[in-house]
This record gives sequence, structure tokens and C-alpha cells, in this order.
Amino acid sequence: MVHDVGGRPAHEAIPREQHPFMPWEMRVDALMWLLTDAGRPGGPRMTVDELRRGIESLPADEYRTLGYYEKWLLSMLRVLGERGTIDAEAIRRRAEAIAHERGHAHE
Amino acid sequence: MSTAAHARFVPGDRVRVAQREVTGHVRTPGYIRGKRGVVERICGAFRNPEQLAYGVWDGPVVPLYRIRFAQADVWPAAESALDTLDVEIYEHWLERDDA
Repeated sequence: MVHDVGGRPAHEAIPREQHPFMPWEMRVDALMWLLTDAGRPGGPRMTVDELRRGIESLPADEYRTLGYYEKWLLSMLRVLGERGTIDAEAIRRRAEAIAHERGHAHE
Repeated sequence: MSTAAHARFVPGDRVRVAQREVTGHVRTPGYIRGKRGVVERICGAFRNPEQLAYGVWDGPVVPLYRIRFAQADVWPAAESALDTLDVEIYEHWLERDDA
């Protein structure tokens, strides 16, 4: 789902109805509010502009196909990983391990 | 929002958006670069997104303007010659348009 095509023609119809937010989407939103809080001692952990840069830096196929908060989450992982706030690679490995476990649970 | 006491342009000024190729994050859309418009208002002064995008959250503020363009100048297939497009653009992307 592409939300910003940069002034170029949009080739797919624009869905205009709001869908209910999933709990994880609300968590991603809340996390961003906390990270960007300028009142934190030492300043914000990241900025909205860093979030935008991270989204713009996604590979084109991910930019086209991922959902809105999926893009937020990948951008946050990238920016916080750059800063050394988190170990983005460790989180990616953990996510893959969880996906693997769930895959086996369904067998 | 901070004051824009040192704003270089005032409402009504004719301006041209810099035709500048840059890498990295900017808030000036590619489709508006090089286009001519008119200052609609001064929005205030805000920190520069080109610094904010790289973690510099306490840099100097830059005047921000709302610039009005004719849609027909931006998109050749615009439906009406009367339709306009407003884009908020930071001062360092604007040049005075004397043409």
C-alpha cells in the first residue's frame, strides 16, 4: 500500500474507508511518541524526520507492498540501529525465530 | 513555532524553487523543484528537516513559507487552469523570481 507517490500518477484506486487499528499498530504509534519526546533528558531518541528518511530508504518493493505501520516499524529499527540504541540485527533474528516457532506450531 | 523575524520573503513575493539534485532526506518534493510560485504566507520558523533527518534535533530554525503554485504549471494534465497547489517550503530552497 503506497501512501505517497511523490506527485506521480497513482495507478491503483485509493481506499477511502478507515480500517480498525490492530493492537500492534497502536503500540508502534505509541512507541514513536515516546521516542520523539523532545522533553526527554538528553533530547529525543529519534525524530519524525528520521522516521521519514527510514521509510524513503526502504527497498522499492517493500515501499510498494508493506502497510503503513510496517514501514514505520522497519524505519524505527533502522534508525535506532544506526544510533546503537538497539541491536537491530538481534531483533531481526528474534523475529525470525518467533516466525519459525509459529510455523512449526501450525504443522 | 518560532518567530520568523529574519524571513527574506513576504506574502506576495514571486519565487522559484531551487532546481537542485540532492541525495538524502529533504522535504521539498521533487515535482516542485524549478517551479515558479507566490508566497502565500510565512508559516514561522522551524528546525531544518535536512538536519533533523540525521538526528540533529537542536539545530537553528529556518523560515518556512507556504508557496502557491498553479497546478497547470506542475502537472500538464491538470483539470482546471484555476486550480492551485500549496506546498510548504523552507527558505533555503527559494530564490527570488525576477522574471
